[in-house]
Amino acid sequence: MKQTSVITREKMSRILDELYTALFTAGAQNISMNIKRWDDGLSIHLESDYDPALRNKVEDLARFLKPEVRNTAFEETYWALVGCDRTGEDSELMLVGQMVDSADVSVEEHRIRLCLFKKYE
Amino acid sequence: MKFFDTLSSNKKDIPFYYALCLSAFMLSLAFCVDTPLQVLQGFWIIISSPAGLITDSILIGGLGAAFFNAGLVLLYSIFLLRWAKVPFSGISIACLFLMAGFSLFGKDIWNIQPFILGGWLYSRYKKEPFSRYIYTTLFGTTLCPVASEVGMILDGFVAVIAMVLVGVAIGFLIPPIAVFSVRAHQGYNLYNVGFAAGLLGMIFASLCKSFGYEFQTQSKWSSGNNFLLGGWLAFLFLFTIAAGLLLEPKWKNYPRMFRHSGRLIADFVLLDGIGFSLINMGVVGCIGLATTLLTGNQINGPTMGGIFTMCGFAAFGKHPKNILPVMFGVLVSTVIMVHNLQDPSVVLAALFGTALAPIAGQFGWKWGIVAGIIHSCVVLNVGGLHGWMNLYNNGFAAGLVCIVLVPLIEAIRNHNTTERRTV
Repeated sequence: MKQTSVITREKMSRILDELYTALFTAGAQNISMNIKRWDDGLSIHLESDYDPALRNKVEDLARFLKPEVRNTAFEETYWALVGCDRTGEDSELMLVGQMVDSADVSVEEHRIRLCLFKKYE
Repeated sequence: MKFFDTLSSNKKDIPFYYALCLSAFMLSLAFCVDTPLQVLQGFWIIISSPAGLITDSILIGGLGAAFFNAGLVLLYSIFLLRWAKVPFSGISIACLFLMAGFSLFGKDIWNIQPFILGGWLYSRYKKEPFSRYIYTTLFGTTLCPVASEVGMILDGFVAVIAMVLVGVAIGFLIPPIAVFSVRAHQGYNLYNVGFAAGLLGMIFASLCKSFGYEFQTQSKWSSGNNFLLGGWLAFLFLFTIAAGLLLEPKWKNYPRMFRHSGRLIADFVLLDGIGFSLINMGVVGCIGLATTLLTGNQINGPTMGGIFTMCGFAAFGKHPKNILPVMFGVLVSTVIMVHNLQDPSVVLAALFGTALAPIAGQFGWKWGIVAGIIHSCVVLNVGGLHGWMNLYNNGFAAGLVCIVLVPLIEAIRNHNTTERRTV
């Protein structure tokens, strides 16, 4: 395996850490995840329930994962901060949004589905 | 109204135009306070003088030249960000305000060039676009006094070559160290590159001292401009607040920004929008200005640099709730310790010590005060480690404080939580 994909794997594991922390903070009881290795990158599929009373947190998560602008400078210097936080804070979720190459998020009444893709470096 | 309507609908460009206006304002102010000849003569003195801590450009080159230099560095930094095609957000504002502020005490348009070349070469070496390293590179110009110092030691063309080589080498080394240093303080020090540069500067200074070279500290500190500079800053911050109020119809929700701990990376422009960010910048700037004036200190190059940096980082992590405990801690230290409130290093510690704002934001105001007290002690004793060559001495000290304080706070809090669970 190429050395570069190892870095992508490490980043993806931190992204996962941050995401399930955020989902637990939003009242999730049951999270299922699937990670797939492609020729050009890694993808994560996450499906989870959440507490409807905390829907605003889930909507914020969706917003942060699909930012209007992606700034590659964030990832370069700060990627190691993803997954360090235990409270699912906005700033780390925003960083996740800056790190992935594409994100598809659908928020339903009691469920959230995420599909994130990150290219190998 | 048409221009304003266009801006409101395309808010992404507002930070760019705001920075551009600030640059134009600083450049025009330079020629309002001094004649063009005075400005150019003073500018030459600034770029040909050593830049180690603390060198007030207003004192050595005059008010007009200092503003000319700051406006020029700001304009150049804006150009670099545009050239690298990075989107403007909170980190851009923080970076640009910091560049402008530190150009009033240490940085100049000449001594930052080798560092930028070094950062660009690192991006070429990594085969990545320069946009990935642009902020680290601009922040990394903090060690520009090293280049100036080398230029002073040697003579003629050799001095220029040596200055460029040393600057390029440091600019090349800063980005990877900055990536590592952020893990050490876990994002609780907003001046991450200051910490990284402090470590590098410490090694550089140790090498120089091993060859018998002695670094000299200096305290070039201007006074007597409080009315002019204070008035100008007050105008700038009130204008910034007014712009924020106009852009953000829900401005009454401004206190919601205080929910953020400020821990890296809290880009307020991306999190809450440009309107709230501008209001916050104006408010934080006013706090910095008021603190300087109410403690009987001077508004000059270094204190303006501190206030500018606070204002810029109010778009990237700082807000009144997380900065006030830290500032209070630094001020309290002058009561219980031997520090003097009118000492330049102490007032700079109060302004720049807000790098530790995320500690107050994450762990509460009491820990913020503790962080401020410890920071004021550490920052006054670590300058010699890097030979006063790292302009972000407070960033270096804040990183050291974080490494010691954050694990202790977490250990105490975890212990208390465990005790509560077992009861």
